[in-house]
Amino acid sequence: MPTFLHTADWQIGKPYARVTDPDKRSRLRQVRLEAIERIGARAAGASFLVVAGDLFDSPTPARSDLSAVCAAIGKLGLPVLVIPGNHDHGAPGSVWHSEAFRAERERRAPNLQLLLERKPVELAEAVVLPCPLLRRIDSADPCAWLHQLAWSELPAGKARIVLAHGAVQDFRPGDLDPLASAQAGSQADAQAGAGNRLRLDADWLSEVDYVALGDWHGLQQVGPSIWYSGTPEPDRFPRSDDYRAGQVLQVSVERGTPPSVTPLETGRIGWHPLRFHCRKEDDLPRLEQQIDALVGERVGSDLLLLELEGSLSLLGQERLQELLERLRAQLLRLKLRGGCDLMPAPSELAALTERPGDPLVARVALRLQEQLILSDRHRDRDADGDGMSDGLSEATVLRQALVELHRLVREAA
Amino acid sequence: MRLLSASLRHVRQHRQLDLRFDPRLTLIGGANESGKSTLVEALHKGLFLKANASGRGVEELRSRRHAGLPEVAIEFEAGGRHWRLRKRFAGASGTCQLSDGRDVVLSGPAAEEHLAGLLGMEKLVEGRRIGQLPERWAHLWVRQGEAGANVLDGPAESYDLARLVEQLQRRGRGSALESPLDRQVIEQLRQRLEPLFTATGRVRAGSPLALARHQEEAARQELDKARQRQRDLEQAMEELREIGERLEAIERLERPALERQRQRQAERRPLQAEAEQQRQRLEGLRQVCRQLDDLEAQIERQRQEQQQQQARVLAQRQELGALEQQLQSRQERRRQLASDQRQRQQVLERLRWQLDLHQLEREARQLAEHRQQFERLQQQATGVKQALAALAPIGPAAVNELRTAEQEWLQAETRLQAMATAVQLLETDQPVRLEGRPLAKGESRQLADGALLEVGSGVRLRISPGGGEAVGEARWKRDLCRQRLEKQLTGLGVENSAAAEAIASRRQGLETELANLRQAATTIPWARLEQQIAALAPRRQRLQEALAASSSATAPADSSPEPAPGPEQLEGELEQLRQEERERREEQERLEAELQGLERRRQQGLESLERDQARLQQLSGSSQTLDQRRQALEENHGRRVDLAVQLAAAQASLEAREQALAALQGDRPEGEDSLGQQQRRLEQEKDQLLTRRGQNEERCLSLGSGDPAAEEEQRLVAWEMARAERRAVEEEAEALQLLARLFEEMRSDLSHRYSEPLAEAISSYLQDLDLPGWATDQQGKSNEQGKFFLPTLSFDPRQGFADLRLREGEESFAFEQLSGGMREQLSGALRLAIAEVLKPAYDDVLPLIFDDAFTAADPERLEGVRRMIRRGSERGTQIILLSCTPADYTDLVAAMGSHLELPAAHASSA
Repeated sequence: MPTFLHTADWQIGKPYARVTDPDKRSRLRQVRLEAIERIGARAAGASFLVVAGDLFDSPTPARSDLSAVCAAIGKLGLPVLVIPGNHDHGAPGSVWHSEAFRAERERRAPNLQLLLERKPVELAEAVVLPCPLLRRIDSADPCAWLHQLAWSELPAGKARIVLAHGAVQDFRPGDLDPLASAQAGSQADAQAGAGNRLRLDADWLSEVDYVALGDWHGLQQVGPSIWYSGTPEPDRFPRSDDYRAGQVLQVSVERGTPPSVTPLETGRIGWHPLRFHCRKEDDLPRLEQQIDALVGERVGSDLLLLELEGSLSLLGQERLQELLERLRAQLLRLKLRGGCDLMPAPSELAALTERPGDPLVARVALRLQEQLILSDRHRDRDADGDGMSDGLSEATVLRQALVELHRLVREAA
Repeated sequence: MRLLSASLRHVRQHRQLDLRFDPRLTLIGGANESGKSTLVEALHKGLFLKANASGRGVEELRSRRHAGLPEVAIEFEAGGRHWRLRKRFAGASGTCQLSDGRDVVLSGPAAEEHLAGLLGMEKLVEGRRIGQLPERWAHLWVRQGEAGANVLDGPAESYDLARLVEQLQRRGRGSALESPLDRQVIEQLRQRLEPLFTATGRVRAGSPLALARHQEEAARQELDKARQRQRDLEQAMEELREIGERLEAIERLERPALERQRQRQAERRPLQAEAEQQRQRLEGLRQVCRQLDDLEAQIERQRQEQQQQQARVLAQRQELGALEQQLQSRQERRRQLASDQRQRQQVLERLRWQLDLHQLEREARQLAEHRQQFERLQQQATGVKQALAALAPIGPAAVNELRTAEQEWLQAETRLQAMATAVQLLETDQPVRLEGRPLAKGESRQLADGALLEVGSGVRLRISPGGGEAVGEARWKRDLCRQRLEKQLTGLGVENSAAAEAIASRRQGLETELANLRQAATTIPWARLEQQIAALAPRRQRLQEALAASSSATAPADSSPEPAPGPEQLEGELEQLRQEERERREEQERLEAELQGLERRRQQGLESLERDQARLQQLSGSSQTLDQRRQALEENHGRRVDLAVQLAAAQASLEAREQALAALQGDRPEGEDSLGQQQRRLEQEKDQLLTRRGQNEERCLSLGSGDPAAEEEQRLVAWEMARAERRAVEEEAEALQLLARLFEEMRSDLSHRYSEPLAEAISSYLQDLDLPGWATDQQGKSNEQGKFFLPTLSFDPRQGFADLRLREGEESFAFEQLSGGMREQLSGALRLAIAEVLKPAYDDVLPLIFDDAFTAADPERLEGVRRMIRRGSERGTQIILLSCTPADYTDLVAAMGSHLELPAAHASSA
């Protein structure tokens, strides 16, 4: 029974722009390249490898990435069939048409077979039916050509594998919402969501044995023989518990029989979401524990999405900041969402307001506190909560002022 | 601190001056130049100027009159002790001693240092810093001429602000204004805000905030650029793809299509030629058919026209016939009319003759009548002439003569009578005789001449009238007139004038009648009467003959014996005849016109007929020609029916060829040229596309070289971070600004706690001044009319007190706006208030020196000033008043203080 590997969405050259540290950024990029090697390590027994689009993160990747990719593919030692996806679409002018690619492929990766035409490609073990994306956004169904295909002319004994990239009708991943996409990859994802819809029609589905899909970065089985392999190296924080990224699919398929699909781990970097509700500064050790449980002592190989809620005292805020600073150093990226409101502890407030010897500080602190209470009431009533608005909210400034006052007094004392 | 005594030696005009001050109020009187101001200065310098000072400050103390260096000795209480201070100003070698009379005896710098401490100073003023001297205790030393100045305008130290605030704090609510920590925090705030904002609150250029904003903007621009680049790349790719598609379409579809078309075109050419031939033949046939059709139509048209012409000729002829008839009837009528007229002419003639005859008869009758009349007149005239002849020829003149004569006689008679004497017998019994004639009883007699009157018998009386001769003359005259009258009457044969007049009148009547008759005779043309009568006869003869001839000729039947018609009848007939005549004439004229019209119409009809007949002939000629032509055509091309068959055959043949052509033509109907053009266009387009493809490939290569997608993402993140950074900086800046603002607010809030007690203290003095509106409310707390003066002032912990104002109701006046007197008094109140507030810091007493400080106060206000001073003194301030008019305060001093008088200048110098 012929066996091959199904992968997609390598997204080589992904900039990881939100990772500020250039070293960490290049580390993340490097890990993606290394994923090819790791895929190779899982290739035992596979006679070829299909990449269902988005091998590169852009249609015009850096020359160095091109070289590295070709080199890595060349080392795989098995045929690698690639279609362009929406990120690295196959329009003229893209990398796929470039002289550089041609040269690199010739030089380093003769096993790389680029499928830009929608016509059957016959391999020794199977027939591959590529549905490449030739524009970034194409409202036409890339699989449409399968309707006209003369199925009877295909070799009868060979398994038929459709290779396509895009969203499918009956599977709309929950976290492909525009916000998530915009944060996860380039904005193009959100736009591309509208076009590039694959129509997996029953009339040709019945003629094929496996549909290898790309685009969705999590592992997903869409139909009995329809799979998203997910990306071999995770590149976003999961938004649901069943999201699995960082694997390649080992597929054994035979004409006329259901395929046998086995995910093989390839991921290296940890993307950890963590939601935490602060109540008092005593909670911070608990937070630390939870983070430790996720990241452990690993340095430079994890990303953490920390969603904070609740409120902390002045001191708590400072401790939290200290913790976050430590995490920023340890992690590849610490992404914060939400935050803990400043809620000075009564003792802290008293330390500021009950200062008969320092009438100005005491009165200013008292006034700030009053205004904060008022402002919170207003906020509760208006419930604007739009953190993205350009102006600063009154409450934010008041809290900040209180923190500053706290610091100033402490420094002066 | 209380001043106890002072001694000046060799100070200006004072050789030696010793004073003791009252603990409460000291009035020091003295004329001008008596050295009051010198005393004030000397006291001040004694306390605050270093003894070893030199320069102006010391020079001013030196006496020009007295040898020796200035020496000032002051005794005072301070810090619970009694101090003696002695200073000798001798430039650098000046000396100072300070002792409390018990254990402390200090001299030199130590003494001065201790003195400074006692006065609440750090140190005394050095000679070279003499400019600072007036600031020492400026609130307590009111120098002459400075009373109207606002001590708060000076530096804070000049009115002992620190201690004042301290005292106000104690005096007030007890809360401190700000602590060192407060100040430290504020200072730090300031330090942190300073690099961010300018003094005017604008973001400082180059500050982190400006930088963050700038960076955000730059990042946004970079993002825009990256996005643009990415869009450009996408667009270039899209274009490239379109070019590729187009090129493929050209190569795979359009060019082969064109080629096929060319082939088909080649096949079509012979077919087209055949079709063309067929088409020409068909066209020829169609043309013949059209000619035939045309001819037939023409012939038909002509035939119709011919018929119409003939009908018209016929109609015209009929019309002409009718016209002829009308003409004839008209002419008949004309002839009849003419004969009628001749007859009527004869009748008319006869009528005229008859009328003439009538006229003639009438004339004859008239002439005969005239003749009779004439004869009658002649007879009457003869009668009249005879009557005239029978009457005497008395004319009116004769009558007049006669009447004149009568009157003359009467007049003469009357005159005679008048001259005569009248005798009347009234009664008698005897016969009376006058002139012999008896005079009857009652008879009266005129006597013109003397007369003899006899009465009875015996009596004879001669009566002579008067006048003498006149009576005689009158009697003569009367007789003459009588004779003349008698002569005339006899001549005329009448008795009197009346008869003569009757005769004259009768003669005149007759003569008038005669004249009338003659006049009547003249109206009768009697001259040729006979001739005229004779002339009538031949005329009548002629007329009668003519009539006879006429009646016999025309109407012998009419010569009935009917009576000859009268002239009126004849006139009527004549008029009738004339009427008829006129009518006939009009009819005739009408007829003539009609005749002319008819004649014209006939002429026209004839002409038209002639034309129509000509046209008819022409038509028949042209019809023949047409027929000939049709025959010729039919001979040449066969008959119409055969032609139709031929036409159908040709048509079918053409259609067959055209179908064959259409089958070859395909979808593009263009001709060969157009095909060539298309091909050329296609080649051109392909060339252009290839060029564009090259350009776009270049473009993609250059745009795609730096991975614009990654670039865009990086720029986006960079921008988001710049934005977040900016927000963070802004947040911090705003927080700091908020803090600074709040601190400022709190400070000013607190400052009221200091300004208010001071204002209250001032107010308590001000009420003594009895200002307008205060009389009713001496407490100054409230006034229903809102008409009281309240001092207000502001306080800033750094700047001190300021903005001293007086508020009156809604209005508020700055110190500078007040009058000179009011300034002096408010200033005095302020100083008293400060002294009172400060006092606890100085052993509960402070001296306050007024040197001629209330000179601008009017007498009424002076009373208020005195009350104010009294109050100050009562409240524990040691007041020293120097005045050149000490009388103003003697009562006050008598009550509660002491009065000193400075000796006059010369006395002091003694």
